[in-house]
Formats: sequence, structure tokens, C-alpha cells
Amino acid sequence: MREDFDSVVADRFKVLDDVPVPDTWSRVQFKVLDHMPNPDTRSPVQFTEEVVNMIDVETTDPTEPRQKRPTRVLVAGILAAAAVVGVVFVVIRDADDVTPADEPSTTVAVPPTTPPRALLSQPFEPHTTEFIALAPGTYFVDDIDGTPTARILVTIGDGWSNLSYNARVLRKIGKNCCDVTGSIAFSRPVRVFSDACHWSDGYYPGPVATVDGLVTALSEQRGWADVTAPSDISVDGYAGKAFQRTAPAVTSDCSTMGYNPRRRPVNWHGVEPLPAFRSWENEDDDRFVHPGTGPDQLGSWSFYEAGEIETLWVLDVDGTVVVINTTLFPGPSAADRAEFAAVLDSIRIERE
Amino acid sequence: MGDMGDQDRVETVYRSLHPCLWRSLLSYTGDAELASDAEAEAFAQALKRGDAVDDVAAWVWRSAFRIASGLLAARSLSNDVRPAEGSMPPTGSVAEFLGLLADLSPQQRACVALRYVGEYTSPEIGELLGTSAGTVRVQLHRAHATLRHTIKEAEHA
Repeated sequence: MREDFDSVVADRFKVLDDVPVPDTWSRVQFKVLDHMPNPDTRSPVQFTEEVVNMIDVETTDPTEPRQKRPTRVLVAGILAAAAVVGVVFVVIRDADDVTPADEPSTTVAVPPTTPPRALLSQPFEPHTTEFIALAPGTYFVDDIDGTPTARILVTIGDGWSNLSYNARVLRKIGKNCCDVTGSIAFSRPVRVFSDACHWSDGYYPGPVATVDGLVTALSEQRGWADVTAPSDISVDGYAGKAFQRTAPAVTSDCSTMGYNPRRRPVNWHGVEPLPAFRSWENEDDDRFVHPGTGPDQLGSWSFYEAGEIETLWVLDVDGTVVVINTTLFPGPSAADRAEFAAVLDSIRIERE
Repeated sequence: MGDMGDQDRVETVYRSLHPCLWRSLLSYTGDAELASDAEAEAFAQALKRGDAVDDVAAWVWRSAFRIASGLLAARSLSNDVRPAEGSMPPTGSVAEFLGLLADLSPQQRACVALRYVGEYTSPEIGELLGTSAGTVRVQLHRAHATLRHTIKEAEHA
């Protein structure tokens, strides 16, 4: 019998042999993606979670005594308390707005005194898909894919982050690490695929440089399970169209690509072609091509999971056609829907 | 963040020790969701550190238990390993077994988990938990006594 071994206890431990073990590797990958490189941009909640996880594993010497970090806990506590404090920010829209049916709410919680901050991209590094946590508050962009526009502002709450190399892509993380609720992005499509599933068949042949042209291309794009009829909207006086699209339940037979950033945790090496459901490309997508994946293998962030629900606003902002789209992952809760509607509703465009 | 070589190295370690590590963490925490989260966090940090981590397996074992300890403490359940709200509770004999372990102190649970699932020796457990082999032996002795007593009581109930 081995040292310190108790046969009665060992016999009881045998019940664990029948416990199914979940594969957690995808969760590992998501955690890698969600590690935040810039502590200054961490939201209070995520900072607190790091403390919760007792990240004192910096100590690799097993004989070194474990140290408690009261200062960090105190700071995290203060930040967490601050995160609780917020005000309800009500956006008053133009009286002549035509509100799409998918906008149930007009409120979103934000800290009361923080001025709007710019969403700034960092240099692109191949084979990385880093999301950087954003503190709750109001953010803005002054250009879309390098084309200057009137300032567009959006207000977000807890749990949001943005893509490091394309700051105009924001996503919402739920309670758990892997629980991505959805995203919002600001884009300027220049090429629309004729078929979102079989996108390798080619681009929509008509013009997409106008609101009407782009709306036609996007709303008539093949492959979607459902597309609502476009309706007129006006955001701070900028006219456009709003509609909703739902990705099909199955996308496994779609055209494949070598590097799908939405599937990166699965296809880490980018060597196994994966099916992708994608809608359009932006002018500056060439910046984001990964070595060895081909010139058209990354494209914009216009990728969709099966069953994903997208709400699009296509607006004419002083002659530039801007797409603001939110996507909700399949099975959103009523709270998720309400939050995304509130974020969409918080969008303002400042007239110059 | 580590490069592709680190990714392969860490994933290989993950595939080799995942069932054993996960079951050990389940024994320690009594919560499948918490076990998964602690394990994933440890591997994610190993990936992030890249070649700064020499022995990935040892580092992950040690880190996963520390992270799990932090999660338990944060939930104020370090002496009560009932499953967290929202997690899938174990059933049948597994639930009964985890209930037995709930009578142990956190350090005793860690010792028996590493001993009977991880199959580590007392000196190795001491290294992983940052304590001495003698302390581990004492903890194991007390854990055995407690478990035997509880089992005997249950059999006569």
C-alpha cells in the first residue's frame, strides 16, 4: 500500500471515475482572448474578477509563501462600488424619428461625470484577436475606416470590450468568460457578397455607395434565414434605413476560409478551412490579412454565427454611408435584447 | 502572449492531465463549474506566460488549486462546498461523496484530492500547495479520520 493511502477513502474516490469530464479547452482559449493588456482600460467588474481568481500565480516557486494582497482587494472593492453607482442616461431623439420595431428601450446606465472617450485602434498584429475591456461610459469615433465623419457617440455599460486593432468593433461579455452576448460595430462596406453563405461566389454587382444601394444589397443578400423590410429612420437628423437579419440555423455548408476571427479559439493555427457566414468587406480590410491565409481570408468583422440576429442601421452621414450594426448571439434573454436596444438607442451623431 | 510553440506545448499538457486535474478540482471545490473555471484560468495564464513557464504540468496543478482556492474564498464557501447557484449539481453517489468531503477543511480536501485523484505523494503535494510534506501527512491523517468516522456513521444510520 502506498504511503498515506487509506483503502476506504480510496474506494470512495472511485465514484469520480464515472463523472463525465467536460472539455474546457475552448474556455481556455476564450480566457486567453479576454486577458486585457492595458490595465487602465479595465472595467471595474473585470478588475474585481481578477482579484477573485487569486491571480497570485506569478509566484512559480512552490516554496514561496502565498501573499495576500489587501491593497488590491481594497482598490477593487472601491472600483466595484463605483461601478454600482450610475445614473440612467436618457437619450432624447429627434421628434420625427421613425423607430424600428426592435428598439424597446431608451435607457442605459453610465457613470455621471466621465467625458466621452475616443475608440482608438492599436496596430494590427497577425494571428491575434485581442479584445480590450472598456469602462462603462460614452465613446466616440470621428472616422469610419479612415474616412472622416461627424462624431458618432455610443454609451455602454459593464462588460463591454473592443477589438484592439479595429476599435470600432465592440462586444459584450456576459457573466461568464465565454458568454458573448453580442456586438456592435461601425462600418463602411465597400463590397457586399451576393450570398452570405456562399460568399466565395462573388460580390453583389450593383452600387453600394448610397444608402439605397447598400440597403438593397444587404437586404436582398442570399443566405439569410429572415430579413425584415427596411424602414426609414433618422438619427439626429441623419436619414437612413433600419432592418433586421437572422442568420440560418446551419452554416456548416458555407464557403470556407483559413482564418475566421470569430472562430479563432477553435481554429488557432488557421490551417484548417472553416465555414464562415459573412456579409460584406470594408475598404481597409486589407490591413487585417493574416500571413498564409490568402488575400481575402479575413475581411471585415462581418461574420455571423448560426442563428445570430443582426440589427442594421444604414445612414447617410454627410455623404458617407455608415453602417451601425448590432448582433445578438442566438438565444438572447429579454435583458440582453433590452440592453442592446438601449445601446443602439444611445447612439448620437453630432452635427458639425 | 505565448507563440504557437507554446500553444502546442500547453495544449499537449492539457490533453494529458485534463481529466485528472478536473476531477481533482471537482473534489476540492465540489462545484463542476468552478472546477472548470479554475482549470481554464490556470491554462490560460500558462499560455499567456509562454516559455516563462518551464514545467507546465506542475505550474498548472499548483495554479489551478490556488485559483480554485481564491474562487472558493470569494464565494465565502471555503467550508461549504455546496454547488454555486446556476451550476449543474452532481447527483447520486457523486453528490453523496462530495458531501463527505464537505466535512473536511479546505486544506484537507486539497490534500486528499491531490492524493487520491492526482496520485501525488505527500512531498509532491507539499510542493504543489506550498507547504511541507509533514504538514500534508498530518492533514491526510486528519482527513482519513474524519472521513472514516463519517462513513461509519452513515453506514450505521
